[in-house]
Amino acid sequence: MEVFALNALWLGPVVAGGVSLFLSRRMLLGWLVLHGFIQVLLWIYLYEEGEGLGPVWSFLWFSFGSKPFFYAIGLHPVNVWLLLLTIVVGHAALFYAFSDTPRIRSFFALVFILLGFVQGVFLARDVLLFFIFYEASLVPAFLLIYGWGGAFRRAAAVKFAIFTLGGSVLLMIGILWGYVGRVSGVWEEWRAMPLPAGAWLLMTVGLAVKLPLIPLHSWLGEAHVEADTPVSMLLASLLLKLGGFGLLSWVWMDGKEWAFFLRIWGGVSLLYAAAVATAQTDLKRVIAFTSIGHMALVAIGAGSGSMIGIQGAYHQLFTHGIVSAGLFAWIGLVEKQMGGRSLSFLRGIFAGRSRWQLPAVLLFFAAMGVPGTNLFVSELLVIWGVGVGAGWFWAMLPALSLLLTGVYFLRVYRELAQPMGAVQGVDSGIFFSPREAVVWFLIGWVLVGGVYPQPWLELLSYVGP
Amino acid sequence: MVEQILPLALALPLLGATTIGLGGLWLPILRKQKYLIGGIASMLVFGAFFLFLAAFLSYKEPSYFAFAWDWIALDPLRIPLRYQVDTLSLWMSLIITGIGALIHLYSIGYMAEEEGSWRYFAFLNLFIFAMLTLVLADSLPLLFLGWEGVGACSYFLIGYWFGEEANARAAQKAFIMNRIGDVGLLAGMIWLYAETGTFDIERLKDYMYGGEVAMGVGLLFFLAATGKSAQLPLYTWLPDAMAGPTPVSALIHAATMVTAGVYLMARMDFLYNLTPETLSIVGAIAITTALLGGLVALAQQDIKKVLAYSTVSQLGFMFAAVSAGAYTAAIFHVFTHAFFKALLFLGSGSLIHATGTQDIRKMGGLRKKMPITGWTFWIGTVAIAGIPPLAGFFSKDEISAAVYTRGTTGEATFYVYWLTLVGVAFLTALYMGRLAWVALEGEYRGEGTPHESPPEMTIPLGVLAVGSIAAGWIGLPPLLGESWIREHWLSQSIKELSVPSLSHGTELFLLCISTIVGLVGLGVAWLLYGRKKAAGDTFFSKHLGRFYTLLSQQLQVDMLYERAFVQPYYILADLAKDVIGPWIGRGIPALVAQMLSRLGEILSRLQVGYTPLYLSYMIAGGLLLLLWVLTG
Repeated sequence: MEVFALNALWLGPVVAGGVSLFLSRRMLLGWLVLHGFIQVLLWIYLYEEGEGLGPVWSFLWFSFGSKPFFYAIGLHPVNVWLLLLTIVVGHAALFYAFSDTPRIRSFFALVFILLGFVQGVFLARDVLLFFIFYEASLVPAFLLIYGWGGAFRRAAAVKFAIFTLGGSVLLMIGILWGYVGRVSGVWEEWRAMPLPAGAWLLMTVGLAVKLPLIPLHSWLGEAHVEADTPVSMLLASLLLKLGGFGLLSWVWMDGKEWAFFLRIWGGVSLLYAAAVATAQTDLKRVIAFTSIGHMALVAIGAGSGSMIGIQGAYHQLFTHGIVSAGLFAWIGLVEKQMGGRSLSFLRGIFAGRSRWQLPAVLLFFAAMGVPGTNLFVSELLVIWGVGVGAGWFWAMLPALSLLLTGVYFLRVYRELAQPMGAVQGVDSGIFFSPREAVVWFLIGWVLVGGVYPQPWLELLSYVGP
Repeated sequence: MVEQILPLALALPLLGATTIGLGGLWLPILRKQKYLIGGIASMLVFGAFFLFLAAFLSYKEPSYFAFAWDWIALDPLRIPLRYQVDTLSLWMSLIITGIGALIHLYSIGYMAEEEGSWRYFAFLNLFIFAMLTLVLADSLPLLFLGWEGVGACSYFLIGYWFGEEANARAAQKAFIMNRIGDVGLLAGMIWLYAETGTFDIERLKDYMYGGEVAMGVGLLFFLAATGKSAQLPLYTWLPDAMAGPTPVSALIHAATMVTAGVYLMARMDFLYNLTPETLSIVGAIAITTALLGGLVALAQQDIKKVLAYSTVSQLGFMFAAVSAGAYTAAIFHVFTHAFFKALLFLGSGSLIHATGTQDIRKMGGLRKKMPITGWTFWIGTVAIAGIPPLAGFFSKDEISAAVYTRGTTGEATFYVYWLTLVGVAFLTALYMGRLAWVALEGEYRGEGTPHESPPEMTIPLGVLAVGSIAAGWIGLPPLLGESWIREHWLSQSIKELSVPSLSHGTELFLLCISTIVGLVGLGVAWLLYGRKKAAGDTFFSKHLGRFYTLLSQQLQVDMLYERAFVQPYYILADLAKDVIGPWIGRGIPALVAQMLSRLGEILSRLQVGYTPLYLSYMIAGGLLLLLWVLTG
């Protein structure tokens, strides 16, 4: 049963993707609900089975010379919540997309397949398998950006593919280099000893493309902005996590040596992203650059030089996944109704519309890391980790993120609240539209994770070299 | 006892905030029931006040209360939801809920014509909850939760009329300047943790700190305090914050939130006692702020701006007390100041409500038209001016005595501080006298016929007036009796920097100075503004010239900050977006392309079309592969 459940976590969505090609629009909704239900059940079963320490299943796939490659997948405290994140955000995005996405069958199929491969990345317990899933996820992601979204989506998709492939080449060479001196690439063995410097550098840079850190980030702005809202949600919430997860799990497991390098890189990235976000006039771009800033905190956490920082970075992967998906869902909601998303066009939309204002306030405050939201917990852990591992002065760097995100989110909020340009709106009735429901569903996670983060943190305490 | 009282007292305002907020949001019908909403909100805060009163009456010793679950626990780190009820936090809670309840009551009348009063009351209740969390927290991150929470509530309430650009900008400015301080609080807190391995305030007291740590953390916490409590250089948000509704100014920006910095430093007494050098720095900043606030207040025409700068100046007094190591004197001044400053703000709200303007040049003669507001405003004025036996006299006298005493221990700078404080006390009486005579006496210069406000507004004025008269009597100077608040109450939780006590002669001298300075200040105000009907402003502008103009422009500090920080940051942001961004966007792919074509060139040299060479490549490759497999 465990073996079945483990494999079904990633194979299930892939198969579901194939099936959804043959379903009508109405049946797709049922299929989505059923699939989500089964996935959650599987996740709960696996979580309960090992209290998050969960089963591992591996068999020898093939060996090359004396190097064996395993098909090894399993649960580990660090991936349990990310698996749930994929299920939650993936299905939320599909639900969000359901009512009016064109070519809905292929859209569903691609998203399902993408979810399967993302689950595979999180599940993989052999570095080569990790890489295979990592590469595979690129294909559906590319097609999703290429096929759905704004006017310049094709160019954005090509740019995304080129950057990611470039990163993958470095990652691939790094992994092969890492094999030198190791018998296999199984999780325990890979993490048992430090990587050779070259492998370490190549893998870090390769994964930094996906994270992304500047100057390797320029694919992100366009891909996030041009993609359709549900795809933006998936990109920000899941695909960026692949970079962060790879960095934390396969490269920076001890996080001590050369830590300051990643701290500085992350710090520069953070400051740059904040500055660019301040100058943006397109709301979706603001959110895209917020993501860069928040993922830079993951890099800083990985380079904090202490275990708390790494735990915080892992936690940030989950919390940012929720918050960024919520932000994109919210702006998609507004864009759909108003027909635009530039800040000057949207001035004053809050006039008379408390129903838009409150989710915006909660999500903006979450992105700003206000206590009581889940992102604050992870940012506190990162700051804490840097302070413990590298000294309080370094801790000012991630702490600065609180100030700088405040600067541009409050400006955005102020402009949205000015009563110019837009007509006085009216709140819709008592009931939610499906899109609003998705936004509130994600906000629920934001608040629960902020007030009671114990379920997440309990597992993170098992993180160790 | 505490186990039952504390969770309930915390839950009441939170319950109000959530029910009113969500109810107003989803059921637009409820938004019209303004008296119901305001009534519920007020009742809940009154309830919390009576709970704390019960805790106060049955108080025996410090007690701790922790919820069964932790907020954040990541082995071996723990941030429990742990609260501390000692004399200091209980006293602050009484101020918050007591003054808070009166201001809620007042708000029912003040906000009666507002469409969105449900939003207002939801945030006001949430503020009470956050502020209680701040003062009661025993764990620094929990304190930070309250600290940011009050900042967020303040943000929403300053920007309550968010449609106006000025209000929205003021709110934004307040939040960001507070966040600059928050970075200091976070960094200091983490530094303490790195030293001691705990966040619990109770346990932090037991560690031995090196001088560097005590000073560094002390200064970082003081940075946080300058943000929250509007001291130099982060004070400019407070005058702008007057854009919010007046009761908010009274509660948040005069009586409670802005005193959080003072509370934090009193709470961290054990750190500051270790390094008097830190306290000297605090003193210098406090004195400068007090002087600056007093001077600027003298030249403002907007009644709320005068009171805002007065608050900045009075907060300077509190920090001066902290710098002398006299934390009880600081908290005592927090207490008395809460009464008379809330009274003055609510009074000014009543005047604004009646006249429809904030410009004191368009008021005048209002005491006759609005007797309750007028007389209570006078009481507040006399109290803040430091005339015995009203409240302000006792707390200010204790502060100046404490600063003077520090001077006698050999730190000569404290004599300078003391002298400046005396000067600021004179200024306080002067600008408050000016405000009262111009706004309340003489002939009415505005439009329409102002009427007295409704009872839900005048009752709080009356209660606060009684407090402004009597609140000081719990802290009598040694010469006149015994200071109850110092000896019997706060000394249980605050350990002051030990300084010698003054001789009776010196003490009498200081008392006389305080009294005389207050009386002279009011006297000068009467000469300039009472007797000669508002001739004072021309007198000052004639004799002070450009300096007076500068004062009336609030020293142009806003413009300075705008040019020195805000605009450069926006220029930098534009630069990042429009220059560096595109440069990276084109540069990196170009660089990679160039590298690849260079690589291609090199590889193409191997492709010479000579078959035996290709064959040798193949053999070499095969051999290498074989070698790897065999040795691997």
